Amino acid sequence: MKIKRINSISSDVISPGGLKSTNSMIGKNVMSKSGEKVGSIKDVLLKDGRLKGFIVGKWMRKVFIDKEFVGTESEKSIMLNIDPVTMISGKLVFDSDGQKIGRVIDIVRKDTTNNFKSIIVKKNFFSRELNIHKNDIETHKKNVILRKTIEGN
Amino acid sequence: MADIITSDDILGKEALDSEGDIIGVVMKLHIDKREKKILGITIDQGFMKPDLYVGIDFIKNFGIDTIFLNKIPPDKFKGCEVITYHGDHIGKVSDIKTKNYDLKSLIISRSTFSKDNIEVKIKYIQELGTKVILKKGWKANEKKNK
Repeated sequence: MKIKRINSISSDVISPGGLKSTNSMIGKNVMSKSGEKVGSIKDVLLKDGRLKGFIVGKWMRKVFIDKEFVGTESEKSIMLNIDPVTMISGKLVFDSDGQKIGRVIDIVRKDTTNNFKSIIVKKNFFSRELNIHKNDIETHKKNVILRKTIEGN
Repeated sequence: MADIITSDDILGKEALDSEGDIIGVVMKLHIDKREKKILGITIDQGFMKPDLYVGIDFIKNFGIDTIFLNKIPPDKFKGCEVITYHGDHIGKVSDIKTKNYDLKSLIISRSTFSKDNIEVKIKYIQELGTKVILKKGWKANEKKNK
């Protein structure tokens, strides 16, 4: 939404035309560093009157993304400079022997930064949960491949 | 004997690239009948994509449930959406150019019925993932290439 032809009462803003409306951000697609769709902006959050970040939602999942992780922005989308750690959830997990271990059902995080300690993997409803440390993960770009074999899964 | 597998242990299994992306299902084994050696596999990439031949040198290991490849097949990027550094849609990868199986450039089609193709060299590509993301300022460079 463009702001035009509005009188201004401000000490430094002569015309609000050069400012950006938070309304224009709502609905924009948010993409990770690798181009995967994280979701779309549902809400814009402020702290002490300044932009702090966005609520990004996809299906039922919502995640707050700080503005420090915003790389570039265009008319329709926002590119992040990270691959959000929350996106590991739901990915398939294979061990080094090519055995399908299950899916990532949860992520154990260090804090609210984009790091994680381990992933929780489960094969099906009846199987036990496996806690796999970050150091045992070879890659988690598309699916998760482990450095080690999992016995008796 | 523990290291010996049969064709049943390979055919029908999913093939994963080095990033863990599922490329497709192994449907054929290629055997040199004179040398009596396996040369490679054919992967069925599904209804929308052509079958993919992968040489034995690009197979990392034959796993229990999957076959691991040791690199990303450049053909995988055919049909991928191409976006700018700012996230604007450019088109789709219609073809690729390779040299010794290494990606050299992408041919990007702006729309399905358009013949307006753009060639983007690998040095102007920032990210090859779910989408192809071009580097900042690629357009200026492309004009120089023409």
